Amino acid sequence: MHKKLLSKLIIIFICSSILTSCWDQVEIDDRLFITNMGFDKPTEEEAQDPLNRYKITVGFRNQSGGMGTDPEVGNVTLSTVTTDMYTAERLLATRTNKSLFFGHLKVMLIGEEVARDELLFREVLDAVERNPIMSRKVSIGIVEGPASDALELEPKLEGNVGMFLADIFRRKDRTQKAPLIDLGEALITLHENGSALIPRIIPSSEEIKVAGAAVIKDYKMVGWLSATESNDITIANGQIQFITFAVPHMDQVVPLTITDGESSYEYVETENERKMIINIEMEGDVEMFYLNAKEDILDPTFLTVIQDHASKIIKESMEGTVKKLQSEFNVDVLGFDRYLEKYKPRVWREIKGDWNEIFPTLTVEVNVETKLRRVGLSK
Amino acid sequence: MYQNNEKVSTSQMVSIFILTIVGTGILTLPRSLAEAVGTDGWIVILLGGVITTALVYLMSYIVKKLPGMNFMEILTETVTKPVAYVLAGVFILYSLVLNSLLLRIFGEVIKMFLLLRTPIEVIMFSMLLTCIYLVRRGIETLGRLAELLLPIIILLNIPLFLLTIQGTNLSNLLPLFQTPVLDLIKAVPISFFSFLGFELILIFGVFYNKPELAPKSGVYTMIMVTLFYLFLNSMVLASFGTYQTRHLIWPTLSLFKTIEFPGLFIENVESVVMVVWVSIVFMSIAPFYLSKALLLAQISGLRNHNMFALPLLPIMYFISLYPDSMAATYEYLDIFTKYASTFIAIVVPILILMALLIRKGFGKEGKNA
Repeated sequence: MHKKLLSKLIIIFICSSILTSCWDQVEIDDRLFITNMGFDKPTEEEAQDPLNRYKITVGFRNQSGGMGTDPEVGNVTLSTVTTDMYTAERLLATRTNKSLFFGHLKVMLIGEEVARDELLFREVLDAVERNPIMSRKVSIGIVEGPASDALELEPKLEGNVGMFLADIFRRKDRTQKAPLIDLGEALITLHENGSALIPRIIPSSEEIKVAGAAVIKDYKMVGWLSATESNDITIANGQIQFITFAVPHMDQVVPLTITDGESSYEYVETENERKMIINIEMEGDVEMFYLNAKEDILDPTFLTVIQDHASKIIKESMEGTVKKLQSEFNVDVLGFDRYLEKYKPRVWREIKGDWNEIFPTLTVEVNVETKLRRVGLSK
Repeated sequence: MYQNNEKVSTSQMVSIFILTIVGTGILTLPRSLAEAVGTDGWIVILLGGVITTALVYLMSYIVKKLPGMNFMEILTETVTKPVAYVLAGVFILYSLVLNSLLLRIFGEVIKMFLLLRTPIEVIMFSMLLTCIYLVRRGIETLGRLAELLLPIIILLNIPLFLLTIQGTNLSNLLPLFQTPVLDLIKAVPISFFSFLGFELILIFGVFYNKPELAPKSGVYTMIMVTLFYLFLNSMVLASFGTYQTRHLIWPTLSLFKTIEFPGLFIENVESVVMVVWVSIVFMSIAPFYLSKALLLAQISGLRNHNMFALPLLPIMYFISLYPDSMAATYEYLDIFTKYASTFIAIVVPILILMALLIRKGFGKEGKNA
C-alpha cells in the first residue's frame, strides 16, 4: 500500500518537474510591466520627417536595487517619436535593459491632437484591438493637451498615473462626472456607428482628474462635453447611481443623492414628426437641510415640492445636452440608433440610411420622475 | 488480445463526439453567424442542429442495423466492393485535408496567443506526435481520455463563462426574427459545418459496446452540442453586440479577454482558456487521425492500424503548411467543407441507407417467392 502511494508521489513529482519549464527565458524582475501608454503628435520640428507621426510615451514602475540594499521603486516614463506603436516598442527596447511587456497595460491616454486626426486615432485603436496580448479592459481617456503631460505626473495618492486612473475607472459607482468606459466598450460603440464618448482627462500641474468627455464622431474627436453634460448622457443611458446635486428651495439649497434609477426610451412617429421620449425614474435621499427648519421635512407635500424641482433640474439639463448633441455635434451617443434597431427594427430599416439627417430633427421629450425615499436621521 | 477488446461504452462515445464536434466550430461560429444573419444566429444554429441530428440518427441507425461491421464492411455490404474502395478513399482524403487545416489553425492560434517566437512547424509537429501516440493506442484510450477530459473542460469552463457575465447586455440579442427566411436558409451551411465531426459515427460505430443504443446516444450528443453552441453564441453576442462580433476573428477567445476580476489576480485568463482549448482541439484532431488510420487498415485488410499512424504524419504536416497565411487557410477550409463535407456527411449515409432499404426490399421479395 505504501509502495503504491510512494510510486504515485514519485510520478507526480517527476511529471511536475519535467513538464513545467520557463516560458521565454525572461525572469519576472527582468520584465518591465508597462502600465500607461500615451499617444501624441510630435512637435513641428520633429514632424518634418514624415516618418515621425507619433510621440509615444510609456510609463511603468521600476524596481531597482535589491541584493542586500533596500529596493527602490520609482515611476519611469519614456517617450519616443516614431511611425507607430510597434516600432516604438522596438525603439524603446534599445533604451531599456529589461524587456517590455504590454500584457498588464492599465491605461491608454490619447492626446487631443491625435484624437482629432481620424487616421491616427483609428490606427491607435486598431493597434490595440488587434494585439493578442493587451486586454480589452484597458481604461481609455482623451487628454486635454498632450498625453505625455498627464503621464509624467505623479498623483499624490498613488505615484503611478496608470494605477491611479485604473482605480478611478474601476470605481464607476463613485462618480458620474465622466462616462468611464474601458477600451472594449469604446471599441464596441465605435464599431457600431463610429461615435463614442470617451472620458476627458485633465492634468494640472500636480493633480490629474477625470471629468467630462470627448465626443467622437466618425472616428475622430469633434469636441468636449462638460462633466454635467456627460452626466446627463450617462443618466439617459441608464447608469443612474451616486449622482449628487443641489435643489434650490426658497433661500436654501437641498443636496440630494440619487441612489438608483432607470431610464428607458420610447419612439413615437406621427405624420409630421418623429419623436423620442426619454423616461427617467430616479430615487434618492435628502442629504441635508438646515437646523430646526421651519418646514417639516417629513411632510410628504414638502418632499413632493423638492422632488418635482429635482426632476425639473435634470429634465432641463438633459434637454440642453440633447439639443447640443443634435445641433452642435449631430452625433448619436445616446444610443437612439441601437434602441430603434433592437426594439423598432421595422422603423430602423426604413430610416437607417438617413439617420444622420434624421437625428438632428428628432423631437426629444424628457420625462423625469424623482422619488425621495429617505431624509437622514433628524426631523 | 488487446485488439479484440476494442469496445467503447456509450458515455465514452458521447464524450468523444462532443469534443470532436465542438473543436471544429467553437472559435469562429459566432462571427460567421453575426456576419450572415446578425442577431438571428440562434435560429440558424437550431436549424443546423436539427439537420445534423437527423443525419446522426440516420448514421447510427445504419450502425445499429449492421452491428459489428466496420466502415469497409458496411460499404461492401451495401454499395458493392469497388464503390466501397472509392468511397473509403474519398473519406480518407477528406479527413486528411480537414485534419490538416484544423492543425494549421491550431498552430496559428497558439503562435498568436502563447508561443510568440516558436516556429509554427514545431507547434504543429508536437501536436501531431502527441496525436500519433494516442492513435496507436486505439479507440479505447481515446474513449477513456474523452471521458476524462470532458468533465475537466466543463468544470474549467463554468467559472470562465460566469466571469464574462458581468460584461454582458442581454438587449444585444435583439431584434429577433428580422432576417428574411431565404438568408436564414443560406446561412444554414455555416452552422452545419460547425457540427462537423459527427460523420465519424460510421467509422467508430463498430466499436460501440451496445450498438442498439447508438441512435439514442447520437441524438443526445447532438442536442448537447446544439445547446452549447446556442449558449456560446448568445454569450458572445450579449458581450460584444453584432457589430463588434463581426470584427473579431476569434470572438470566443476575445470573449475571455474581457474578463477582469477585482484584485488583478484573475486578469488575462488566456492561459486557462488555452488549456481548455488545446485539449478540445487535441480531441478534435486525434479522432479524425484515428479514423484515417483505421480506414487504411480496413482497406488493406489488416487487423492492426498502428503501422498507418506514423506515415500519415508527413502528409498532414505538408498539407497543413500549404496555405500561405491564416486567411488562405480559412478560405481553403470554407471551400473544402462546402463540397467535400456535404458529400461525406449527407450523400454517403443516404447512399448506404438507400442500398439497405433496397436490399431489404429484395430480401422480402425473396421470402415471398
